[in-house]
Amino acid sequence: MAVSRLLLFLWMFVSLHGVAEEQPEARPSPGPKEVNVRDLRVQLRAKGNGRPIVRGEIRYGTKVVYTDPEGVAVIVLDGSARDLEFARFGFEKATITEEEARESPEDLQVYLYPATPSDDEIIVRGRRRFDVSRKRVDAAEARKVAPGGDPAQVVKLLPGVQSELFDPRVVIRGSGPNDSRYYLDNQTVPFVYHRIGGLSVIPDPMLGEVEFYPGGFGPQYGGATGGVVVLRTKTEVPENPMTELRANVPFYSGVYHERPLSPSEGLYVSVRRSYLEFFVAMATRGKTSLSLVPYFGDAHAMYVKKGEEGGYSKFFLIGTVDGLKASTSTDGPGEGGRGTFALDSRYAGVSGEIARPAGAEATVTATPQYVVGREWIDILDDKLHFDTHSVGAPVEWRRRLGKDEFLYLGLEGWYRWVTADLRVPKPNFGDPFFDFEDAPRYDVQRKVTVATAGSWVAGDLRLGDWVMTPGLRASYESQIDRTELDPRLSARWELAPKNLLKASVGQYSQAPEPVEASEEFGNPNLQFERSVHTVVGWERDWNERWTTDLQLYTKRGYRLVRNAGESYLNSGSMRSQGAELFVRRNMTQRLFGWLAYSLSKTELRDSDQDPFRPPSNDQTHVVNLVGSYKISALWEVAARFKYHTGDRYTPIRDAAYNASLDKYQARPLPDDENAERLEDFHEMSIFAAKDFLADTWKLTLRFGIEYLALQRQVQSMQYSYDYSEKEPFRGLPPIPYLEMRGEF
Amino acid sequence: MYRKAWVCGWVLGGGLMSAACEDSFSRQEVVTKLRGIGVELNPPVSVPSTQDAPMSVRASVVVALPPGLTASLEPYLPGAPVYSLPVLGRPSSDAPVIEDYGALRVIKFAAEIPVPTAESLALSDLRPAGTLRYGFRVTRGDDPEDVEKVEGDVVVAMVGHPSLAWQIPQARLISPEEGEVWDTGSGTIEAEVDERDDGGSRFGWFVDQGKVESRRALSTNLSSLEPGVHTIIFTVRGRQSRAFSYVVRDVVVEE
Repeated sequence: MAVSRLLLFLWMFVSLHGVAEEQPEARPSPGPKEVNVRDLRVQLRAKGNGRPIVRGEIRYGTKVVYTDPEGVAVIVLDGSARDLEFARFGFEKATITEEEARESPEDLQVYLYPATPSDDEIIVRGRRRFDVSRKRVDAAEARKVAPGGDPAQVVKLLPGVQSELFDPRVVIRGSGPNDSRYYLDNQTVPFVYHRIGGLSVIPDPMLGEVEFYPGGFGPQYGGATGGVVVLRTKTEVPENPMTELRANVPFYSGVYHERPLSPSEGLYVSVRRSYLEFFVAMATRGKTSLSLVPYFGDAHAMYVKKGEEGGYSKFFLIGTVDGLKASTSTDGPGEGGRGTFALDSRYAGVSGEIARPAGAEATVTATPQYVVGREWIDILDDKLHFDTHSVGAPVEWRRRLGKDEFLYLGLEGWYRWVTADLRVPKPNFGDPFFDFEDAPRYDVQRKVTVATAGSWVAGDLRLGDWVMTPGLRASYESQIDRTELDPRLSARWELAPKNLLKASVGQYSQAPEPVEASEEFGNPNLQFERSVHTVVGWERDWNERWTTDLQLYTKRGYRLVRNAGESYLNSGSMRSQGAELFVRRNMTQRLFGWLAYSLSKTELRDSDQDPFRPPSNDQTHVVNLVGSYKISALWEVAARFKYHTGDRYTPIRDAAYNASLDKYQARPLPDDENAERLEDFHEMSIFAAKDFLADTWKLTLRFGIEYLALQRQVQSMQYSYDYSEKEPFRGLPPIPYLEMRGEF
Repeated sequence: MYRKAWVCGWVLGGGLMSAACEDSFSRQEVVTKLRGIGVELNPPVSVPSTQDAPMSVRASVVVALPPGLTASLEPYLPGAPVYSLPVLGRPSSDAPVIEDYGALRVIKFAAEIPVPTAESLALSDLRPAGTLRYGFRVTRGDDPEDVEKVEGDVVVAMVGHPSLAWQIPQARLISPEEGEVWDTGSGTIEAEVDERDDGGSRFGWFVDQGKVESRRALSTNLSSLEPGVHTIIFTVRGRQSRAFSYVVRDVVVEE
């Protein structure tokens, strides 16, 4: 047995060996190709501005690398994958083959297109100091829906506002344009909209947000019985230099530039100028005897510096000019039968805004400022020239006391001097030889100085679910030598998170204008005009996308200054009440818009003996529906619809030919004042914008149509020379426009 | 306040709007219906009445209208103007004087404007002159809806006041000349005025058709006339005296 086992073993051994020896000699298996391993330095940039993309992802097979703050990453090409993929949230993915990568230069620049916008991400807005009626719109939101893409004009689309086509000013809850105050940051300015063209005085890239207070505002704002409009400029330091060239046909062109000077300092500059006058001249040449030259322009410079311990400093320069020159045939006294009119309105301002920490949980903000303005009106041979200088410095100290609790103390002082150069008819109706056109003239130059001071205190105090904000403002005006105290109180009650009831009541005072209170032309015994605002409201964030704000208000005005023949008296009064609904679709990358509805009634009277009558701008219903939709990364469309009840006017039912003057004179009946209404007004504007992206610059074409309506809308009623016929004066037909914006 | 800004805006807006309109809606110089063009006053400035010597001013209310039409006159008491005393005029029983021209008819209605006493007018050494306000309603014969209300002032001054020496300004048409023919539909219209008071004059042109470039100018251009006969009326009235006169001339535009 053992032998046989041995033989078997031997046999197996030999056999196996033989098999082994009998296998053909195996060829060595083919190994990997020989690959030139190389490093590839990739920089990811955004298409359209060329800015580096940080934390961009580069995928090569199973390898993933991320770009650094310069947008750079190094990837080793070793042939282990076929493609390279480049991606970053907010951008379209890009892919190139490894072969293409190898053929590229050592430093590969990859530009990613912006991704199709998503409706999922809500753009978060920070909350600031609470105010019952305030509406705040970021410049980015406003740019999407505002007329002409001008964020500051978004105020005209908000509840409580009435605006007219040819008038850049606004009426706020029944209060006239001059009853409201306008601010650029904390700098008081005469106006924020150009008189010509209606454009705001700040270019939109410089604007951060728009704040609008239709009433019920806190004691930090004084000198207004209507509303407050605040245009807030940016306080950020730009990350990258950017230049924008803009041409808006037929209105204006402009240049804008921003750049970081250091990580904590930034500079913004801008210049704009109209060329409307050339288009108007072309349109009217040979067709009318009217020669019209409208023009406007502005320039800005802003320097921002972020503080090391928080806070910031801002230095701001602005200059604006608006003008209109007209020459036409008139029935005036000139033997040439032509008259000239000129309006020149301009101002320049310099301000510093300095915000600094001031102790634990406290900040102080000071805004020293100087504004010089001119308002010149020339009518035939007469003139009204006003030059105004004002210097002042509001300061506010704010201290956090606890959650939602703050204390505010503020102080401001102003010194203003107005130089009036007047040439006006000297009225003397008791003189039988008096002829208005040929009357002796007042030729007078006067200087009026006015010092005003204000101080305020307010606090946000939490009482359980309530936050109360009592406030008190004291105002002094030297020309009338009076002081006024304005108590104000607002409250909000949080029914639930993002669901609150709110209310406010307060008194608001406004000093008479310098001319009204002057010794020579007015009445130095005038008092402050006064207004009492009451607001109740309900504000709710239904979800991340939808917000509503419902407000009811009343406004009572007293001691309003009225022209009483040869002087001024505090004899007027007004009453206004209404309801406002604001439904807002919060901004995502894709969709944004709102519905604003106002229902109101306003009445005025010149004295207690007169009946209340509606003013001409008593628009009972006002609806603004706006929306913007981003179709893709490059295309955006938007629309605005506006409706309001027709304005009122005074019908002329009787007139007479004055044989002594060779003129027809209207004889309106006292009860007919603002008794009739124009047709209801409606119009729509639509526009689309397309971005054309090059590697490091972008061209945006924005084209649209303004004033779309079934027919041209009625702006006013005009009468024939003898008032026997009337016909509506209709506004502009649909006007297409094109704006080209190049961003470098 | 609304006031300053709105007044200026209205002045600018109203002036610009009316100037921009080129049709008859706002062309005051074109007479296509019954139109008042002035009131002749004699004397232009009157002394007040006394108990013994009641005074009145002879007035001629002058209207222009298309040829062949008639009109009638009645007085009314106008609304109380500031610092002017309203008075009721007395139409004369005489028939109105009708002047027919190539393309227009001019009718003059005689009337009297009674002058009250100095006491009624509150005249005194400190206020030696005042005004009366009269009103006449002129109605077209074939269309009672076509009514022109004509109002105006008469100056009354105390005896010895220099305004009593003022005369009615006289006008003369230089262009077009009498019998002139234009070979196009436009031409220069020009007048000269012999001013008779110290306050200067206010001029006014009226035409049956066309467009006057500057209605208040002494010399201006008339255009857009169709071939045919056209009537041009030039008026002058004293700014202070309110005295009024007019001249009329036809011009022919060739085909």
